[in-house]
Amino acid sequence: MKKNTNVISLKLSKDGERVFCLFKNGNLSVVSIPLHNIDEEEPHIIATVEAPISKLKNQILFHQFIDFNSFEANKRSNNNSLILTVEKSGAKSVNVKINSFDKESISEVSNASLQLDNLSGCSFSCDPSGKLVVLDEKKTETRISTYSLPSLQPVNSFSLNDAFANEPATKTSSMIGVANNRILVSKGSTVALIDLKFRALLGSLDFYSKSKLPGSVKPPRVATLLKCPVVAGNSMRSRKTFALVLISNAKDNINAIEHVSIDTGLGRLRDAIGKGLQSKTKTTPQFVGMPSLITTDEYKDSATETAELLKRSKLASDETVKFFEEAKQLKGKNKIQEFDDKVVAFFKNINNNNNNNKNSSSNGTGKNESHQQQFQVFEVDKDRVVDPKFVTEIVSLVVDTVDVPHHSLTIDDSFLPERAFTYLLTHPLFPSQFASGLLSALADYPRLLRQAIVTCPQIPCIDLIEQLSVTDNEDIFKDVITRLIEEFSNDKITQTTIKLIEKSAAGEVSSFDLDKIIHTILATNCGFEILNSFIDSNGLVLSLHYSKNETQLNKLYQKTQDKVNCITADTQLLTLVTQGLVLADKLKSKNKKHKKKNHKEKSSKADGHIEVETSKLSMIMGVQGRPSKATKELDASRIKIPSYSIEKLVI
Amino acid sequence: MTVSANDWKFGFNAGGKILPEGELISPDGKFSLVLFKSQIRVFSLSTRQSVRSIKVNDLSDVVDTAFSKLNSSAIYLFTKTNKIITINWKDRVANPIIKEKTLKFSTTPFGSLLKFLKMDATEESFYFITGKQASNAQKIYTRYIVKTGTGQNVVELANVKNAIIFNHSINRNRIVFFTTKNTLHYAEFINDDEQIELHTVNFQFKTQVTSLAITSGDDTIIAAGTSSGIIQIVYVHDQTRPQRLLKWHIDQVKALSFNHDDNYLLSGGLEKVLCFWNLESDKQQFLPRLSGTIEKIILQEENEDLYGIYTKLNDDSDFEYIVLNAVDLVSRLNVNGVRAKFASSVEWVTKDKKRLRKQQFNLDNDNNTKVKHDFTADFLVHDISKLVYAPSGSYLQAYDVAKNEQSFVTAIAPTIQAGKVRSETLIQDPTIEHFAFSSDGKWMCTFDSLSTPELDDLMSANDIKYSLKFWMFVDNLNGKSLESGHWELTTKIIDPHGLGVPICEIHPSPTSYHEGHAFVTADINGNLRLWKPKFPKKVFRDLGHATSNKKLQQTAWTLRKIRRGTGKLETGAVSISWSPDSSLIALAQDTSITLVDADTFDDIEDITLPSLAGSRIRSLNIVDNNLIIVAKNRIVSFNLLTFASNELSVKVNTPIGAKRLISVDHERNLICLGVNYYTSTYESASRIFVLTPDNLKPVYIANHMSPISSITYSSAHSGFVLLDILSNIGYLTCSVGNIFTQEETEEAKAFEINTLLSNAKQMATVKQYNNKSDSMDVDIDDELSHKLLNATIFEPVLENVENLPIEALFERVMRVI
Repeated sequence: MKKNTNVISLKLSKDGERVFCLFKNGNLSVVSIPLHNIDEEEPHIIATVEAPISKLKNQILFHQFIDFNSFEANKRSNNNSLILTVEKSGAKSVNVKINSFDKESISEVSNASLQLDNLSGCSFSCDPSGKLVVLDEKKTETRISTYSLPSLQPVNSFSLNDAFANEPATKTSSMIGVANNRILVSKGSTVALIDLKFRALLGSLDFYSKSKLPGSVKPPRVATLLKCPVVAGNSMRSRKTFALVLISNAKDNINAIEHVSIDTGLGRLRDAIGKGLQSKTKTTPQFVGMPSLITTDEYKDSATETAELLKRSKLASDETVKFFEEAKQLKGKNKIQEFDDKVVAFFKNINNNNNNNKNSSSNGTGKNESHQQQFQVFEVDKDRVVDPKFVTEIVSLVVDTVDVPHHSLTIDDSFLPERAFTYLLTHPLFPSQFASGLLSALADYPRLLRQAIVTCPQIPCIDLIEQLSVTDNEDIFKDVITRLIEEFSNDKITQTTIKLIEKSAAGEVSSFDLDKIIHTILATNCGFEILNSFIDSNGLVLSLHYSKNETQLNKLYQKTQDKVNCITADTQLLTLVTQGLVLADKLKSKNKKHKKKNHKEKSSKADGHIEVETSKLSMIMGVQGRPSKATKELDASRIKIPSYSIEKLVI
Repeated sequence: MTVSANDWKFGFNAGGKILPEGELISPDGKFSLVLFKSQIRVFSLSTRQSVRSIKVNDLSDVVDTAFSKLNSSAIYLFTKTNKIITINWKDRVANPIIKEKTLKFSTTPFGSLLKFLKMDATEESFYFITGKQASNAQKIYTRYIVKTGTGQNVVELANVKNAIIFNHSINRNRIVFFTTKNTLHYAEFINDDEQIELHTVNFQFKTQVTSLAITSGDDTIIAAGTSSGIIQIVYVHDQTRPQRLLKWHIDQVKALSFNHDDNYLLSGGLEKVLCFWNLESDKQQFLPRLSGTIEKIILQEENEDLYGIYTKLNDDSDFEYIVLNAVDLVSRLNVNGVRAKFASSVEWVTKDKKRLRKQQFNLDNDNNTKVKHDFTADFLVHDISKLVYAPSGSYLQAYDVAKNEQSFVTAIAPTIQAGKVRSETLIQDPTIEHFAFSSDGKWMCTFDSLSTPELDDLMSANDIKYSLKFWMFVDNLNGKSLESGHWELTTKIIDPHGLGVPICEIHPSPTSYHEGHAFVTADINGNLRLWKPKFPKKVFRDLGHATSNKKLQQTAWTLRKIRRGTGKLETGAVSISWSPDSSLIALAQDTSITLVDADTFDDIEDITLPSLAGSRIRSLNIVDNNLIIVAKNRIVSFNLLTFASNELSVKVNTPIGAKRLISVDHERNLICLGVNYYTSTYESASRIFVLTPDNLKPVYIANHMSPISSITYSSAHSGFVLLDILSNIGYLTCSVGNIFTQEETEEAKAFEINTLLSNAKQMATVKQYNNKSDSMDVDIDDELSHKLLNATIFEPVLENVENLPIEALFERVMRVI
């Protein structure tokens, strides 16, 4: 068939008797394939739809055969298959058509037009959930927009700049659908898995990150997405797929195809938490104002109340921002005393001016000193309600993060506003990112360290256990133990200790001495509740190690040996009995009638024997599998699955 | 699409609590009037339904009521504040209050009105018993019988000093008093009601008298109920006849009344049994199994065949009003209010006000929401039956808001049905602590606690028994009875989180998780447990059906997943929220929040939430992709995708039960939040906010003049249903259908494409037909195939469509095509 020279896509029908064709000029045809008598019949066109002739020559920008089921909720079988085509219809517009094929005909299902300002920079894709995805590449940003099919209602639109922060803006991108609401986008050498529904970057992979290192002379490579099997991505089975990526290096003229395995996730919130691509359109103030929701003013009407709330928010926000600037300056000038005063006063809602006046009027430094002695703590009913971000920023003025992945913090010796920091350590909004690693950073400040152990929220379990090993101070030790018991389950402590031992073995943690902890617990008589967790963490060796003395160990050994002997004897006996039974069975089959009575006696005897033995066995088994008594007791109440009773009440 | 505040409708129209005063039965015996706090409701005794409700601002001051004999559509209300209010109860009028008059009582020593006795024929002068308001039943005051009217001076007819209790005869001609000297007095109207004759009756005092009754006929008999349960009958007219003792009650007699012909004495008390004593034949009759202790028995002179009874249902002064037919003792009417269990009782509203006034408390923007008491109550809407449910004690009340009446009450835990007397009062009934409906309304999960009675010095005295129960909703399919379905218990689990560990919250799973047939429970240690039903296999079900073996058909709820909580720290401040797509559970304990993977029930450790709450967390809600945190002193919204705080973060003080004051409409992503606060005059009021999760700007704000107790979203009512401290039920709905552009549901999309496809096919067949027939006009064909129809073409059609008849619109469309 000569006409077929400009076919750009084909699809076989389900029964294999028809081929659906899309031609370069936009024409669509259904072609029959003679399956049974190939010689007699020529393939011939059954139906065709000619695209209207236009100046643009029906440039097809994108096409895809789509599954009817992606539109259908109830999965009704339908023989129709659909094709989605995106045709250029003007300088800034495209026609999005859906045509349906069946055995005899082609019919146009929908035809809608879409305005795109930057048509030349756009690429298209179809999401299996029935959305048209448009990737719009501009100089400043790469933006993804989705439109529902067939009505082309805009659904979502967001920038991908954050996902490709490392890639030069000039690089071109490609896009391919993976699963419902999830697509792969490549730009430069980075491939990113994007969730369209949550606007989230689920994962990304840079094929050639070396080229971006400063001073790198490596030529950049470009990854282009070739093919990817589409999966449903909603169950454990359907979440795995792969993609073929073409890596090309224009300079060296090297091309390679990479196979990338992809875990699409389940397309749910859990997969996307914390991975959202921030929309930059909404500019929030530096700190939110936390205005009072209700004031003492009388209620007027909904609109007035709303306006006043917004006004209050702005005022409060401005005040906080102003204060933070002031605090920053104080830090810059290294005025510890003033920083202490101001920060605590701000949190405590004490009017600054009043305080200053009092101080100046009394003119005494004595009062100031007494003020300094007094450490103030957080009180939920009295203190100012502030934005968590504000607390984070204030803490970051005191504490510096050195190594983000390993949570190393340092505290500047020259700038340690002790009163303010003590207060912050009691604040429930103490930022969690500063909580891990805090204890080791405070090693040189025992008072603050203790404060942190007692009041600072969100200190990870691992830090506390490490502290147990590090500290020589009995009080601190007791505080840590108390906190561990309060906050973490025994299981968690055991697991964390194991992790810590592993880390220490790998050299990540300087030194971790479990023996020391256990000895301290025994010596101080404090923390027996979690002693087991520590002992369990190192398995049987440690348990035996801590059993009291050699004689007892010998006894245990003796006992175990006895049991083993007993089991051996039992096994032998059991074999004998089995053999006896087999013999008896044979006898039974031979002289069924004659020896009935006799046999009965015999078998009953044998049965009784077995019973005794098995009971002995089970007893031994029970002893063997027994967990340490203390853990059993401790965990019993926790693990115990409740007794069930079913009753029916008829009323 | 923006919504103006005018599109929201807000109002409290249903519910309320019965006031135990001022009931009336119309002289023709057709209607009964019952007083609620802010309305008088008229019930038809033939249909047992509410036929009218008359809105009056505040009826809590009313001490008595009476029908006018001159104007059949008027009733008089007499208040503590010495007012006589005339109300039109029969006709629907804009202002039902006809007259409001204040009596000249201020300069007299007579105190205030206590009881209305009678009025003269012109209805200008009224007779009352007056005196100081008794704050408790056994206080001693002087009682006056006075005659007065508007513009008239008060005329004292008689007074009885040191009176403890009093009662009048049915015809209100005689009044009996019991005084501190353990004597009985009775007063009788003589000389055309111009004078009162006061008598002292000697009687043998046994124990404290708790109720009184006096006959209205010629033979004067006084009955005195005592705290020991004995009823003393004193024959006043015949002093020679010895006193009689009627013994059946075993605890105090709370209500007594003679019947119209004085043959019978009706008595009631803590036993929840109404007793009929035939004084002639000494025979007794009983009407047992009343819903509560009998507080008041009312017989009206005009209606000989109807008895009114008030029963007290619980300690929270919830009453039921029953009208009985005197002939066959069948109930003609039961009136109930909404029976919710408030964390602190309504009395604190006024007590707080007094306290703050006394202190001259300085209210500012920070402390005006620090309401001292938690006025919240558990309250949910069941979407299948549209009924609202409120637990109280071991009972769950279902209330029909549309009909404005109680639908049914069901016992969630076994209770002592009989009234408790003497030491039995120490035995506590199980209390429903939490309850929840599955998202489709087919299942209910309840959690109740039963504390060991302090009867003996048992070792188990401090033990509390907890049980978790799963109930299936059985819809009323045949529609025979009026009730709209009932609940059947399928599984009961004792101590679901281990011995003596109470559950803090029951959370139903979202619809996306096993069709919503699952519940998660959280306890004080932060342990989470997931429960799911185990349906019997079809084989067994069929077998069970065939052999009518119910055990084989039983659905059992079982424990499926566990999340281990933290260490020893126990806190009641535990809250959970399950994301609508069921992938994530957020758990709050005190001030910290943990995210839990709903598939594995493990904590999510690859990403840590920042510190957000700053104070004890009351409630968590995942709305869209945002986590809404209601903490003790703030409400913040946090975006779970970007891990950044949203603009919505405000300072406000919330009560312990604040989780009941926030509700989410997941379809439109709206949050409704109620906040109680003190006004500048120290009144407790509330404000209701409708918010979107990421915007500080509220969608709507409403004000309500009493504290709000619960807010719940109901898809059946397509809005928020609210309950206030006065047990009134209100609605907050938006009259605009779709507030925000919703994402198309898949069904809608499938429908759309299906329609388009069938359209296309039809078009194709038309074309084929056209091609086949030679005589067909080619122009039509062309037009059909080439004219592209889209929205822009139709735009001119839609110009000036207002006031355009539909035919003209069709014409326009045809012209375009």
